[in-house]
Amino acid sequence: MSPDPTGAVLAALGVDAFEATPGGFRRLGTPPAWADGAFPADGAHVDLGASDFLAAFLADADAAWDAGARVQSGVWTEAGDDGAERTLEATALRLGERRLLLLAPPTASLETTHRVLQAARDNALAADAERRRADERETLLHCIVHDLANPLAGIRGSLQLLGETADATDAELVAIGLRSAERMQATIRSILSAFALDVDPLLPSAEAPTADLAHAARRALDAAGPRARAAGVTLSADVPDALPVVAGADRLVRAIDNLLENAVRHTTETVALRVTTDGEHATVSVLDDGPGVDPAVRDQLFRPFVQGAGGGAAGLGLHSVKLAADAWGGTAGLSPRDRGAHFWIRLRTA
Amino acid sequence: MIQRKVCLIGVPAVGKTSLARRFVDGTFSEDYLTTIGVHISRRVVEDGPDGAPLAEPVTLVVWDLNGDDDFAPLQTSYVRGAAGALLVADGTRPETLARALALHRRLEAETGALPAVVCVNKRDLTGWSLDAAPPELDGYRVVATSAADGRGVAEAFAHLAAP
Repeated sequence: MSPDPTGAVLAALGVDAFEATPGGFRRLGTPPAWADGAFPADGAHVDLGASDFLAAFLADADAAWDAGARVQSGVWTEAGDDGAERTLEATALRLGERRLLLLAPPTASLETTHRVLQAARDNALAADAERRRADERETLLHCIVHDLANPLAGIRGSLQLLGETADATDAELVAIGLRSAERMQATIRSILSAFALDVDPLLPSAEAPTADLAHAARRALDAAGPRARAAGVTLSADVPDALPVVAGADRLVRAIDNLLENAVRHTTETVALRVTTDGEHATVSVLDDGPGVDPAVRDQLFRPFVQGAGGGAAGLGLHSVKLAADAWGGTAGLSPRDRGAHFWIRLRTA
Repeated sequence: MIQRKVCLIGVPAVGKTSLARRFVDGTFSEDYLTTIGVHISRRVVEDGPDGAPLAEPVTLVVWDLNGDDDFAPLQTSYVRGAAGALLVADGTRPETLARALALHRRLEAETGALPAVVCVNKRDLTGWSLDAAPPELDGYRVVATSAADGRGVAEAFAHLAAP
């Protein structure tokens, strides 16, 4: 009769198999090549407890053996008895009365897992950084439109009126002023055209954009979900099925997301999002139970580069929210609350 | 010799592995290489955080755990039996500090009390700040660290060697 091939098969598969006995762990069959020097051995018994990881995992293994169940460790990397590092996985299972522990490198799946996980995390980091850059760029473009272009239009109009009644000397000065203002306008147009995709939603439009506020609120909630979970914050929502408003869809999502991000950062336990309407207007409210807003900065919060007590990315988020709401003929603000903060955006229904 | 298991905990890319390598091997790499599962290493600590010799050397068994996120949530069983934890945050990304503290609360709820020292890492980078630190940070021992230049690293681990 040929000998039991099980041990040789396990070794060929790279599995180091052990049985837990009253005297310690007894190796079954031939050790695979990777196991050479990994654990100290005393005759037939191998001291698996010399591994810090296995010493901890054996508590789980004991429980699984007692229950007749099977338990698998996660992947771990650790130096062995010979000082060489190995990456391994362990499985504890019971076969009849035998308590078995199988050790093996995680082979090809580890490389795949590592590659996918690395790519996912690199992408998540890059996306987060890009989102912050996009917010800042958009807000700066807004500043150009609102804080430079609009006043410039006023200057031009005033100069034109002055020119109608000016004498010859003054008319020449007015003409110089007008040409300078036109050059500035042309420069601003050039800057804006370089960012055409970003600017389109910011410029005044003859046709008011419409978006579903309820849908935007749900998208923002989805985006905020992982951040809230990571911070141990509970998100709740009271949102109708649909509510059309005057707003740009993507920007509306980002505006609500800005309020949610602030709330998650400052709250203690919960953040609530509500969407309500009185027929003519719709309001999306974000309420938190944090320390609230310092009255000293309350009136400044929606201005650029102003941060609350907890700080923020760059102090542009709330400014961006207000600019967006203004652009759609709405408003954004902060209402008093006994505990925490209540930020809102009010928009015209469509 | 006394042995103490300490875990490095935090979200991905805050520098947990870099801190472990700086502490154990004295090395540093700019490359970000995500950790799968757990990486275990050891170092004997002979001095306390104030630089004075400990009454007895302590072997810190350093469990560098994978960063916790939706892609690979932290296995709380890894933390069982730990004498302490380094909660690692990236000082240039304020949200990572709140997430490290939230992770600590979650672990303590599941596994019991876990003494912790907060490492606000990447002290060498422009943009590092504690200005946006959440109020929950009060009560924690906080050490500004840089795995790149080694600032604060020995002190942070020494706090766990001599709690």
